[in-house]
Amino acid sequence: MDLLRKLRETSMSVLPIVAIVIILNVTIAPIGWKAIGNFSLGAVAIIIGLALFLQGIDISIISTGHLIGAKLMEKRNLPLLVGAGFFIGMFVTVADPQVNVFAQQVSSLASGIAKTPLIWAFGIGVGFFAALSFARVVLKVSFRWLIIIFYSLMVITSLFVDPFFLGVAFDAGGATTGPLSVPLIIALGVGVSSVRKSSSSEEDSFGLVGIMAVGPIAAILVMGLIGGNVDTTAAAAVANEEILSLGGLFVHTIIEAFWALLPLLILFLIFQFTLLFQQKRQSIRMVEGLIYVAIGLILFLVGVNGAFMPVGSAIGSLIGSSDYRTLLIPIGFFFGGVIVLAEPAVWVLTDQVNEVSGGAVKKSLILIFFSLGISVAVALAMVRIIFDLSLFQILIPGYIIAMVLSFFSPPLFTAIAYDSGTVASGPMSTSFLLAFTLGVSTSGGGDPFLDGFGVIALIVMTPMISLQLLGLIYRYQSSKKKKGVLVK
Amino acid sequence: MSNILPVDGKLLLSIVRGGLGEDLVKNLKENGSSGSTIVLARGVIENPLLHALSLDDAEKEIVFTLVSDNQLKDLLETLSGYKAHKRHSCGLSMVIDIHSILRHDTHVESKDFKDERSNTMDSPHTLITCIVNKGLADEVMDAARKAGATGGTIVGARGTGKEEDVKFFGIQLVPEKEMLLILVGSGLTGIVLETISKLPCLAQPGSGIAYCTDVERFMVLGGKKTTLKK
Repeated sequence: MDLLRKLRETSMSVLPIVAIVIILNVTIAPIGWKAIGNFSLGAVAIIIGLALFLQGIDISIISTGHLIGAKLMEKRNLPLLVGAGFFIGMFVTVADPQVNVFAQQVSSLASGIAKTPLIWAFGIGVGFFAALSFARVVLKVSFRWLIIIFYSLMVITSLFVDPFFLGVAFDAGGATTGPLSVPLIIALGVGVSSVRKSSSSEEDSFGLVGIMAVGPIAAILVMGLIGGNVDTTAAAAVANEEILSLGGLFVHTIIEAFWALLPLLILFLIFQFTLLFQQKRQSIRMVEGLIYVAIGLILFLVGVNGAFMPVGSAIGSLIGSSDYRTLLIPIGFFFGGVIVLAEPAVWVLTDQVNEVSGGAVKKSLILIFFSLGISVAVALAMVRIIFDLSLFQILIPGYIIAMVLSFFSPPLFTAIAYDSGTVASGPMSTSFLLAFTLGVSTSGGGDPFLDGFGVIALIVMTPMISLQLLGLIYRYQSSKKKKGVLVK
Repeated sequence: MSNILPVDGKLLLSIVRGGLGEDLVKNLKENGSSGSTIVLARGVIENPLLHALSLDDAEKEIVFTLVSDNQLKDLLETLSGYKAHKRHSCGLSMVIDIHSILRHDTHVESKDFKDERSNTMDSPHTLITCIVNKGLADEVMDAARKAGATGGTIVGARGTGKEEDVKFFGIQLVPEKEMLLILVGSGLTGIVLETISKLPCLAQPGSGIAYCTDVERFMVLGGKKTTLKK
């Protein structure tokens, strides 16, 4: 049964985190056994929640998303395809509760930016780039050039923008792509490409998420260029979200999950009666799948926000204020590598890559390179905080390397790599790793706002490089293989 | 892919639990098979409760292995003793008759296709299965269509050929394959195979294989009645 296999996989990815925290508890970061107990309970909730969530995603969002993508393509109508892309992108963004909270925070910090127009700016940004990437597939524009154009524009613009806006912009890329919209978008991309007769259909299956994340980033950067007054003292406060009681947390999470699911349900209903006309069994599977998604998401988020976030913060500030600050680098390395494996969208992406390649690109291999990427990201974030380095001196060369690599890495891996940045900065890393970094930052007297968004920005950047490196290995190995056969 | 093996062979079709495909192939290779092709699939568990909960999915892998008649006995013995990780139920396996195997690594003079097939023309239709490197299936289909085939179905798969084993940090990198299924009238089998075998993109060793299965009956589901060209 797939659910049992998923439970085994999620246990394998969450238990190492518990082990590390226990080891730290008896050595340099004594957070107390009561906290460890809470943390373990949270870990159990995350293991079960994540497995249920992924199972539900498989039979509802992924299969329906595939179908929507394939049916849209089969209509052979470019305006319809592009229009639907725009609508879906805009709708899931505008209706996303995470986006709502994020826009609220931004507007409270920057006077002159109102919340509602900002939400619509995000929505239109995401919709525009979704439409663009659908059009790209049909019009056969290379993904690499699209990425290079928009990411270069982004890097250049960032040189002229106030650091505050830059921070918000990179956060926006992550915040506007929630745990439900990312799987949907990945599935749409795979569906659209699945009905194409082309040797590039595999690489065209991915990259949608990576391009769509540009939308909100661009929206914020443009606002930053136009200008707006910033209250940076309040900025720090935003980073430290309040921690609710367990009961309050449950209620809060249930409401959040409901609001996250509602737009998807509406979207699916609209498509069901206009395009899909799914049969009975398929519809039952979809509805039951969405129920599993809801239960799984609630358990997962309660575990993450109730148990992982406070522990991350406590460990961060304990080690940050101790004499072992340099140990933060290896600890960050370990945390980064392990935490990313408990990120829901990471599993969704690797599953889809495995499926699209007919099982040829192994899940374990992609997960290893994901891990490596995030390990390096968190370690770099720690190095940066300890030695007080400038974030942009790391970020900008990083993006340039990622762009240069796209010329050498096979297109499939380039597409996956650009998706991976957004995929890795999901609810797990934005809570645990962010809380850990903020803990370190506040205990050491750093700038929590800059350090906080720094770690997220690095998490977005490094997998773009690591997964393209994996692509290089694939290319190198397969060219060696061909030579061998020729000689023979 | 320039040679047709006049000898017939067997197709060993195994459906196993997800993740066991490579392990099974390794076992088969140790006992003489030259390699297999694996396709991802989704199984359905027989359990009313799980079915009602839509939790009856089980990941499966279908393993296609071509074997010659004299290898078959050994391999069947291997399969009957096969257990993975001490589990009893891993899946199932079946043997299917095939003919006209088209592959590169054998040095048999090309024969006249039609003559070869004329003695076993007892079934009206033939299923031609081509397993080729990723991206070549469309090329093969175009050629087959020129030779008279009407349409085909492409399935994503992965290969496990011997010389293609590439290890990286202990993890196997496997070549991506496409499996193309074409149903044709038996009279067309020879000419379609011949056209496919002459494709320049299949001139390299290891770029693909093809084989035929006799089809006793076939029907079109739904839509208007169509027949295949004889």
